[in-house]
Amino acid sequence: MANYGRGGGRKLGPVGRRRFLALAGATTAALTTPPVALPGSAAEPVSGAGLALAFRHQASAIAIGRRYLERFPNDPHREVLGEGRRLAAETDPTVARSALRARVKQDFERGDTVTLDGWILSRSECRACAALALTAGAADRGSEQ
Amino acid sequence: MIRDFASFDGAEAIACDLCIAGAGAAGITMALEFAGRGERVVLLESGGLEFEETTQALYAGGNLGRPYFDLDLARARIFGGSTTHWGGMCTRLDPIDFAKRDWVPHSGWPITPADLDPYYARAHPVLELGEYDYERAEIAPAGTEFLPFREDRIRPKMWRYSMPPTDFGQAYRPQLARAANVDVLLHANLVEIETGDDAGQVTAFRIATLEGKSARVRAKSYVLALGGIENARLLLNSDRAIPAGLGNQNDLVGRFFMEHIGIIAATVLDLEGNGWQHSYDDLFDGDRQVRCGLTPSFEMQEQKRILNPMLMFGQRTVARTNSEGYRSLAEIRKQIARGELPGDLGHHLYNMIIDVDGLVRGMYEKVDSTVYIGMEAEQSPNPDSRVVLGTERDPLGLRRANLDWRLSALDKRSVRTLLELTGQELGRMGLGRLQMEEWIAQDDNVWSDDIQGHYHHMGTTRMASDPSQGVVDANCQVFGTANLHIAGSSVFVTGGCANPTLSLTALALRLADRLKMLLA
Repeated sequence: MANYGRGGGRKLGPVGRRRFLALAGATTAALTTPPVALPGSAAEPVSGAGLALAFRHQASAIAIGRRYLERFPNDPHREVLGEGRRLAAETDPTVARSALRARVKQDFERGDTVTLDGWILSRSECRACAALALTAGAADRGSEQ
Repeated sequence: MIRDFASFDGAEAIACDLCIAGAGAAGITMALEFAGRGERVVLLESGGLEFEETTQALYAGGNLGRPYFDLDLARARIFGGSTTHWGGMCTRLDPIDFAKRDWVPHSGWPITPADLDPYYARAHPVLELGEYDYERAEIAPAGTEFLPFREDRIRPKMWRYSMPPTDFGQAYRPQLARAANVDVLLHANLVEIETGDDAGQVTAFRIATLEGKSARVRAKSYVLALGGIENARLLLNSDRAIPAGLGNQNDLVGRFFMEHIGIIAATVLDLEGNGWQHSYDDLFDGDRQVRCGLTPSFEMQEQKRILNPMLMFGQRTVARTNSEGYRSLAEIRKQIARGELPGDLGHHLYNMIIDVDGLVRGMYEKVDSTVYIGMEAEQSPNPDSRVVLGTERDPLGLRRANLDWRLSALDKRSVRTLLELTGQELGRMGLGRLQMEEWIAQDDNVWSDDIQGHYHHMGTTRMASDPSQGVVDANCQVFGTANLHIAGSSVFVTGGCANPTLSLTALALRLADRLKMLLA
């Protein structure tokens, strides 16, 4: 039993290990994302900057968020945005991360998880990433105009 | 005494009270129970005391189902049977494994855990397992810190190792050689179970060597202890009285073949890096070796309507184990640490050069902190997963076995659910995130070709209270044939996640008690 595997590497999903490590651990990088009104949202915009502060590595979070939106297109935007707004409301990234961690723990306790490319993830962490991905997408579109 | 049937100068008919076919764990356990008693016992073994290629090849068969080991490599045909090549991992079946689970078709044993418990205790010394205790707090080395999994979701289950794994052929050969009432006949292949016209009684075991010598063993009682595939194969080949095969009047012999599903199912991204997983490695305490696996709690199995799979945490050791180059590097390092150079340095350097790929993979494994999750998962009883006879015959004239191993969507959902529960618990504890293989995440019955069995062959002559549901009764007697019994994991109704050797040894002891009573 200790000898796992018969050669050959594991295939990682599109949200790979390195990507996830970055989400979980690396240094904070400020993202100058402007406040945007998200597609399908109410008029009230989400502060992309505030939301971004919740993540240590935004690029990874955005990748995971995009994958979540792709995989679960029917998750209501209001739920996704609600998660984003809760995080964006915090100006202190430590507090924002701590709040997200608490919700993530609660999700795991309740079994409120999703399977994304094989990863067992908390719904809140996925939605937070999705919200960030949406803000990033909106910002990209804004800069193109 | 131990004799070679090939040079046996006896009569064409050998008389005894009990004839046991198969000198593996079950057969030897039973013979030992009779050693020194009044009954005359003949223990038949196809092989000899050493490995023989021509004998081993008698196991060869076909594969009709999902990828599986070559059948001639899946068991050892030698005195001692597959205990000559086993890992020594043992644990009990769980109480839920014996139960009729309404979400698991064909589940439910006709005996209870309490029926088997005293025999588990007796099997422990036979397998040199130490005290009969599986309580984690009692048997894990002091100071081992296990994770606080919520036990209403995840249940820790302990394994003990027979250490070193008891080789029945070595350990019990002297005792059987001394037993005046036990005749061990080597190179004595069972080729037919002969019965009267109504198949109600076995009249003889017909035996033969590969060289053509043959005889009949006549006994009061007979036991098949040939292994999970061969027990069915011999019944199906013995088709004079019942054309479908002895004991097969209800078309059940060979069906319900089960394995334990083996797969590297997932990895864990360890966010803590504090070595929590090492509590789930092999643990040593003096001469005791144990290991903790995780299964879904009984409540979760019922609530989620799943089986009883098991996972263990571990590291990859494939290249380190198999690479000549890496092993040579390790040897050089070991010698240098002692202040010496290996005498065969050139040979080691040559290995490292020609196996540079393996060397690099081994070095990567050494520093790879990835936590791997391996599984030994229960397979649900499935009548379509089966052993059938092929048309090809072996040199003894017996039709060879064809294996059609099949798995179900329930099997896969059970694997997936245990991974989900474990991933949720690791997330809750803030330890990391689990990533399962993507194919496991899909809700279907599609399986990767990477999955393997664990060389655990179960279920092909299953136990039941009713002949319409099984091949043997609760006493392991073949329905409809009064003096024929079966020992071994082929009588298992379900396999849980327990390596079968302890349970089949316990069942063999129970059957021995039964036969002592019948033969008295």
